Amino acid sequence: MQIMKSVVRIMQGSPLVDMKIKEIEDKFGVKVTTQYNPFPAEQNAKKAKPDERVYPNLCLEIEGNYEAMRKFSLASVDF
Amino acid sequence: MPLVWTISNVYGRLEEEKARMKALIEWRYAPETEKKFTGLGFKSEEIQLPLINSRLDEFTLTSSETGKTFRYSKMVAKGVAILNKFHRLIKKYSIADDDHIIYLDGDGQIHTNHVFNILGGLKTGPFVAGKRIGEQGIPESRIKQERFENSFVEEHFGVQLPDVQCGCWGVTGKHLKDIYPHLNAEGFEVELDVMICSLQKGVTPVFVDISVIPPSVPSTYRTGEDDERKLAYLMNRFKIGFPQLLEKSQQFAAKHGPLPSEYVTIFSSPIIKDIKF
Repeated sequence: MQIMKSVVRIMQGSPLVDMKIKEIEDKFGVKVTTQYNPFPAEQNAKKAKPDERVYPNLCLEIEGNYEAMRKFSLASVDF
Repeated sequence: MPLVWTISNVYGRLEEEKARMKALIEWRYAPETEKKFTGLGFKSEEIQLPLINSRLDEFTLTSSETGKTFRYSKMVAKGVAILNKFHRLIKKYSIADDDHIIYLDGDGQIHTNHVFNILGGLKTGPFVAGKRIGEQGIPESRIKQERFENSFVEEHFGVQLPDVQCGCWGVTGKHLKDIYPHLNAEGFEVELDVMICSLQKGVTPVFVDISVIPPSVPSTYRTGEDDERKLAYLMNRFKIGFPQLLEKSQQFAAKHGPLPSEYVTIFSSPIIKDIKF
């Protein structure tokens, strides 16, 4: 099965704000590989911490199959 | 299995970025979009989520959930934002030679469905450039300037190019990896940069028609500053100085009519800095 990859910035108002990374992975079936603040730069990306809570403007690099990615990304912009 | 990556810049304000992100993600999963991708021979899972380049203004933001305050103090220029994303595509995502990478400006002037035109063009060549129908979307004051800037590329490579600076284009993974080490655009000259590096590699673009609608957000192009940056870029690329630039502008004016006087002032009374040969 094809694994899709992307990066999604969690915007203020997203229902994912305040969820733990582990909770996101369990709920949507995606793997969060990396997290970073968009500034100063995405080159500062670090490995995602499962217990860390998602806050507005945090960027998450995610992987998953088509259905998991679809559910995750649509939920992330369900403002 | 070749993958399709789409990249879009967003311009400045947080609310616009939020709206753009929502629109792109919903577009990606809309049934009509899926149908068009599959019509071009791709499977749904081969179409990656749009990657969005944030270009935020300085602002502070306090999370109502955590109480943490974050301060963003820089707006990334268009070229830098795109090249950063290319770096990530090559290094982190290890794009394959036959992947497709499509860039789309984020100001809403070009409908997202033009991704399909570019994708179709990539079946016939490694670099597809948009050609804005009737120069739509170029402000009246900039039309001659763009033609002048484009003429540098045409003369240098001895080719006719119907458009060089359309904000909708695509490359194959192999072509991106070939040109990436040579790209050095910082701002709005990124389209010129991609075109020049492609032609240097012996790759001429396949052009596809792009219709343009009024922008949904104000342009972030700064007349004067960004004009200077483009000229500095062209001077660096083609190793030309101010006297030659002035001469070229006079030749251009004789053929096509005068360039705007404020524009000509940039090189007739040069104040451009950071020219490094």
